[in-house]
Amino acid sequence: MDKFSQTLIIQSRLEATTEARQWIGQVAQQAGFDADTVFNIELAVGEALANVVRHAYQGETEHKIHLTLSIDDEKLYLTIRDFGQKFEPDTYKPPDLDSPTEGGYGIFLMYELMDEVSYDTSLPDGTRLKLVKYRPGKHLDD
Amino acid sequence: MEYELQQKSDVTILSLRGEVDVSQATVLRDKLLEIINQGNGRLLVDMSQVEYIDSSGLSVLVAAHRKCQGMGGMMGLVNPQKPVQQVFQLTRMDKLFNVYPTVEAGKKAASGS
Repeated sequence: MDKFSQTLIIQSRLEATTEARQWIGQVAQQAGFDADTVFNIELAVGEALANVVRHAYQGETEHKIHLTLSIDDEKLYLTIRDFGQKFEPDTYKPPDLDSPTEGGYGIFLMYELMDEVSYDTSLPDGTRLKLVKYRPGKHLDD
Repeated sequence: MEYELQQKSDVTILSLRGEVDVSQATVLRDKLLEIINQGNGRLLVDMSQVEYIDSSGLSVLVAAHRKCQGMGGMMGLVNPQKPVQQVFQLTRMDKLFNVYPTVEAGKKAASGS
């Protein structure tokens, strides 16, 4: 397939994150990802965007989130750029799955469902999150 | 997300449809709290038409489950579809919730609790 690449800028509202997640799911589906993988991509993206709204922007709705989605024969590649409070990935602790709680599963799900998750916190402001999902047989671990 | 509420003898059935995501979690939380606070402690959440759930939706279900248990009642989930089941399995919430294949099976269990 020809490489797909598009940037979307949304406001930091939860409703806008739902629309962005659904758009990414539709593009992934049209690009040939199977239904289970599309669900997983949507879930990871939704969790990432919800974290930006809730934590980076602390629920303030007037800020911008930049999403750049690229899809080629090998993978889906998404960057999520915010300009809010930096996320410090070193402080992240995965939930204790033996003790169910009412929160703390968002980042865990992102790491579980995507092939690559990385945070760039070296920017002067905010954070850039990179999410990658490979097509079947295209990942080194496959 | 859309929902429908039914009362069958002493069991309340909340049927959900569509996506239970971060932008709908507050609506679901308020509805579940309203049901439980009215004293309906035997509750089934029919998940058979839920196409998507995220960690926010999951958190609401965990909180409602705990509240029901705290009031001496029970909350069960009915027939979650494969992708939703997968989210329960990944987070091991499948060990926390009572999951029933049908509303009838859930009603039977709830009535006996």
